[in-house]
Amino acid sequence: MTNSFLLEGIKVGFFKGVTTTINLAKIVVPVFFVVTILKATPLMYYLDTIFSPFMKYFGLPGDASLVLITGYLLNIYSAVGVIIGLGLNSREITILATMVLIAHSLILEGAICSRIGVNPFFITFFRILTSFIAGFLLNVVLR
Amino acid sequence: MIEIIQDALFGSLSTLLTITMIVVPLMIFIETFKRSPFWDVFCNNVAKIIKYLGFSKNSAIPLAAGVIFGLIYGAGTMMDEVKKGLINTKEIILINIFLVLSHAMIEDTAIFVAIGANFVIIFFGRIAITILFVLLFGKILDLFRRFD
Repeated sequence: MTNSFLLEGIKVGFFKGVTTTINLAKIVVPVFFVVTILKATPLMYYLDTIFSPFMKYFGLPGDASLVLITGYLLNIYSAVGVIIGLGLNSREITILATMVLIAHSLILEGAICSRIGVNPFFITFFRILTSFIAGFLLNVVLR
Repeated sequence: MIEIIQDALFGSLSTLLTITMIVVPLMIFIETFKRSPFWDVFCNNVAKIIKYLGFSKNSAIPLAAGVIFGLIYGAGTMMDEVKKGLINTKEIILINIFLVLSHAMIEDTAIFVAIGANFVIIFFGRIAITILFVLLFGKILDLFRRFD
């Protein structure tokens, strides 16, 4: 009993780590490709011009809005794929990481919250607002 | 065009390798920790800290589980405590607010650190804003007093 937790922990942990990486790869690689191709199209230019007046409050370029949109709607992994696809600098990655970590997988996690009995619309709105506040504060603080 | 694809492939694969090198050892650590006697010690210490945020000691296990293993695990543990009648409505809301902002703090943080984010800022910044909102909502819920 006393030693078995170590063996089981290593076994389960290794399995979970590999599963996480595989799930990550299945999303990051395709997203990375799509973003790389999108960068060569006018679509990215439109996205950039539409969102840059808003994204500048977070010290981010307009096309970084794609990271927030995919992170909010889908999950952290797709946001990671977009971040490396866009080729952002470390200050921008830090701000985006904080924002996405605060608000991500909003549909799935909203469903989990409603099962606990907390209003999913309130929680989703609250998380998006908090992530905007965090992004704005970091843009002011980080130099 | 071929050059772009080549760059994209190498770029994504090297990032994935970095993430693997970080995530696999971390998951081994987390899973071993969960099964070890240190887990109970950790939860007891969490219980001492969270009372300053307005939580009772019954919230320690759901909070510790959610912060380390993720929202689903934290929510599951909380449901167990709720069924036992150990957590009141105000605390359910506060635990939820804490956990939606800060969960899976080891794994998810590690993935972003692997792609170049600053660990101190994304970890402690997130915790700080979470604590701020939990204190704020605790005060608001006390003010209304209709959740007891």
